[in-house]
Amino acid sequence: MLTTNFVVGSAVAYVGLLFVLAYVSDYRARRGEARFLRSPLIYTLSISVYCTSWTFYGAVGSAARGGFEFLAIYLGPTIVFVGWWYILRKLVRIGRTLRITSVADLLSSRFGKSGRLAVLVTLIAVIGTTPYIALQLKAITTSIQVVGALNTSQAGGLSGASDATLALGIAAGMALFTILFGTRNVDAKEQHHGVVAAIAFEAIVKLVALVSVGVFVVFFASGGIEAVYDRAVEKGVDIFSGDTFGPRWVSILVLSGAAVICLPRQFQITVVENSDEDHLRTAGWAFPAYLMVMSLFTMPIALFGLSVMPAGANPDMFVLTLPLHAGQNFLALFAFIGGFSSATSMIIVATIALSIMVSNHIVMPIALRSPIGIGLGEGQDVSRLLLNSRRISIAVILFLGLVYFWLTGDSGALAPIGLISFAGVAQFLPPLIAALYWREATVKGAIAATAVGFAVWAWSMFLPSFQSASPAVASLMATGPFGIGFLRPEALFGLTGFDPLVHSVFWSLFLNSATLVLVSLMTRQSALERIQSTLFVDVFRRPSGEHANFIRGSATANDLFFVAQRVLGVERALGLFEGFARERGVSRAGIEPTPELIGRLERELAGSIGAASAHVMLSKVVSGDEVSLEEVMRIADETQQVIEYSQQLEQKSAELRSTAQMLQQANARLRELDSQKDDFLSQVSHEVRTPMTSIRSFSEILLSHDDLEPGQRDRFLSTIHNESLRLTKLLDEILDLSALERGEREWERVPVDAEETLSRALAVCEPLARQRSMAIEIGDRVRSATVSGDADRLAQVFINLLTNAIKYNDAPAPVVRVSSMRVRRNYVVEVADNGPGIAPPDRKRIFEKFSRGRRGGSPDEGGSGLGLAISMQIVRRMNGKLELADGTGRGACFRVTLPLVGGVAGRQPGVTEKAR
Amino acid sequence: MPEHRRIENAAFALPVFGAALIFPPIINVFNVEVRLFGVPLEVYYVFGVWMLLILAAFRLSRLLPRAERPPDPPADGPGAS
Repeated sequence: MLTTNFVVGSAVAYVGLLFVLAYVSDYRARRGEARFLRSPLIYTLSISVYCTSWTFYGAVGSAARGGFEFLAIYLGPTIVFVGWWYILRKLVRIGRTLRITSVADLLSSRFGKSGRLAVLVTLIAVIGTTPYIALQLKAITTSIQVVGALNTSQAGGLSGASDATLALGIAAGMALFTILFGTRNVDAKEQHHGVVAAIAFEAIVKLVALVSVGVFVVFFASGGIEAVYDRAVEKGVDIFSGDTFGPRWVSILVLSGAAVICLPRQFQITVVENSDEDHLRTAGWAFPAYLMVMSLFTMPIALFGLSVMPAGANPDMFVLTLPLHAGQNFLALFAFIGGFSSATSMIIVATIALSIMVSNHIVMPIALRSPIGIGLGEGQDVSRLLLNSRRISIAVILFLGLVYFWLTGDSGALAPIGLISFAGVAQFLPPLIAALYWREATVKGAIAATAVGFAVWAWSMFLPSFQSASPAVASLMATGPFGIGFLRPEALFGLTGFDPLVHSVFWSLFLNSATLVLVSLMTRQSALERIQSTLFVDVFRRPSGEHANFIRGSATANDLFFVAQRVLGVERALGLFEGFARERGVSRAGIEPTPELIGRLERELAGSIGAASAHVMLSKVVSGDEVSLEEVMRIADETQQVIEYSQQLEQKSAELRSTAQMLQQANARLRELDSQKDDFLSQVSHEVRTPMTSIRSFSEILLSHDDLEPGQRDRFLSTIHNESLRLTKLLDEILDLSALERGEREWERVPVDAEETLSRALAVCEPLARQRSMAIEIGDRVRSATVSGDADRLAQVFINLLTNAIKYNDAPAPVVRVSSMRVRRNYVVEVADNGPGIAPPDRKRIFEKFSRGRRGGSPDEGGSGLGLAISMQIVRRMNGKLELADGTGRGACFRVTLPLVGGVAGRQPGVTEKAR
Repeated sequence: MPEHRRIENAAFALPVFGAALIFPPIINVFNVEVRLFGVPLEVYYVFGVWMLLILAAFRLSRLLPRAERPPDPPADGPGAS
């Protein structure tokens, strides 16, 4: 038979077992033998501190009242853990590299080691956790009453004890355990191996207990899962989800996902107590699996309870009452122990986490700032202060939970209380995500966001939970403050028609995130914030172990040792300094207070008293000539400027290089032109010299020989005449060409019928051809073609081409073939002959000055060598093209291409423009 | 895409799709008042998705690259003291 005494006795015995377990584990961990304690399995099991008595009892109650809704509490964390690679891994890495001690420390450290933010987060965490602790106390007292009351009628022992006394007793017991194992010493990383071992053990107990009850209900009491559902349907229970998967479902998913990261106890276990990042690899799937097994039997137990228990039974206690109902007292006792485990593990971890936060972020800063402060005071032992403040915090936090329990005592079920807590700590989520991923988030933004979210939560969710206890709160809820309906806690800003939970979660998280973003955008980061934000956001990019530090100390190594000793204790301070000395290869006396040492010391201290306090403390000691962060950033900025300046210089020099290159090119071009000019001059001299020589010799003959025959004399004279004509022509052409090249001459551009010009040129050349007895073959001709230009000049081109073709043709049956056509918007004339053609090496230079297709031709048939060059210039001036068509067999074919005008293209006809 | 990037992307997709599957509206597709062996269909669905997520996470946990482990910060544990 289970009596209350027996039940309480077993609970005490169980706690005793935990004591032994924790003690042994701690002892072994201290001796470095606890490899097992640092396994992924223990880590995963300890994370299941998430499953409190809320899970154990409350989930069944929640399933009985709201059907599927309870599942959301476990699916949220499942999603978060399944995605461990992205958020949790980063958190753990940051936690390990920067020695983070709590969620408050994390946020404070990220946002410039802000003490204010840390205080705010700590307060919210304490207030948010209080209902949760009350929930555990409520669950334990109720369960003791249930197990005890059903079975015993005899008075005696504790059975007559009231709720309050029972809860007080439990709270005291928990406080004792937590103080003993949670505050044994100020640890390097706030890891508590004894506690973790106990938590992992409790995780197994509660899982086995719940599964046992589930198996009993489904397979022994009911006879199969189908029978459970059938019976529930018979009793008129709605077994379907109905409209469960609505806004409330989404809100709970979000809340639970946030809670598994932000709840102080979850953070403590997942991040702070983590001994190896790789353990997440296991926890990523094993913790969701644990959650799934935990909730596998919740629904059947709830349905079975609803079907067989009397109508008034408390569904929260089905886990206990069903075995009792079936007379399975020992199963009931086991279930009670399971529920007790889940409650105690939560209380232990939560109070440890909160006490660390309170001592590091509230007590330490006050102590550091107080006039008799311990910062530089004599003989004070910081670690003792820390431990004592933690012990007191644990007691105070449990007491607060007790008070909340008394105030709200009889109101409602377990699950709503838990959700209040979840929603409270979920306010850390937006700043936390910003801390990990948003480089520009500022401390002002984070403080404002957290404060706003907290205020909305407190108003719309925390306050209403006192409704049943306080008539004032009830009236406030009904009419709003001072009758302002607009601000009613459960219909803020006139938003009605939502479930109170959805309403509060929406407003608090929305306003929280909005404030964070807006204020961050409006404010600027301090230097320290910038540094810390880089450390956080880029934690995977930095080589680990390096730690930025900017305090340049005038403090001696002894001063530093003094500080370390008082916070860490003599032994660890010695260890730290000797380790440092060994690395440097110097004796301990020879240690220099380098920035590196100060940085390491700061990190070490941060692991014990939080980043903000450690920073303040060290700054005080080394304040001699501390390089302020602003100064450092200014130096950095200057460096940046120098870099920019040198980049500009580089750019300039690149520009100079390219200019010099261009100059070189221009120079080369000039030289080329110069040599061309020399060539031209020598060619001109050469060309001029030949006729001059001949004129001179003939005139000398005429002068010296009076006895020449008249016939001979005439011949000589005519030669002289011819040669002077040739000379004149040559000089004319040179002038013409240079005028054309320099574009000096005024140039008439009028529409010209090119076809007519071609005919004219043909007519001019006709006699020459006949003289040479060769045929001019006329090919295809277009009827008329209007181009823009100078008719005489164009005729000059055609005549030149025709003359060349006729003159240099040595074929037995010489033929010149002329044809014209339109190709797109161009007029094309081709002059082809069957002469010797142009040798491939000459094709390029045929249009150059003084080049002749055939060298060494006799003077009479040779031209000046300028004809093609002039033609080229003319055609170019008419925007056309003169080219040597690709050889097709024998002979050469010159092609003139001129753009057609006429119609649209013939704009401004007849306008004489000065061509330049 | 290098192999480890692929796996990391999968590690990102997993929670996203997992969330999509248990958020409305998809989850309401199975909310049809049908019983299979006496148990409502949505129970199979929720636990099925849960199971799949666990299995996929298990598989990924084997494949995801092992980070070069940051050395334990100095002066930590018995070795340094």
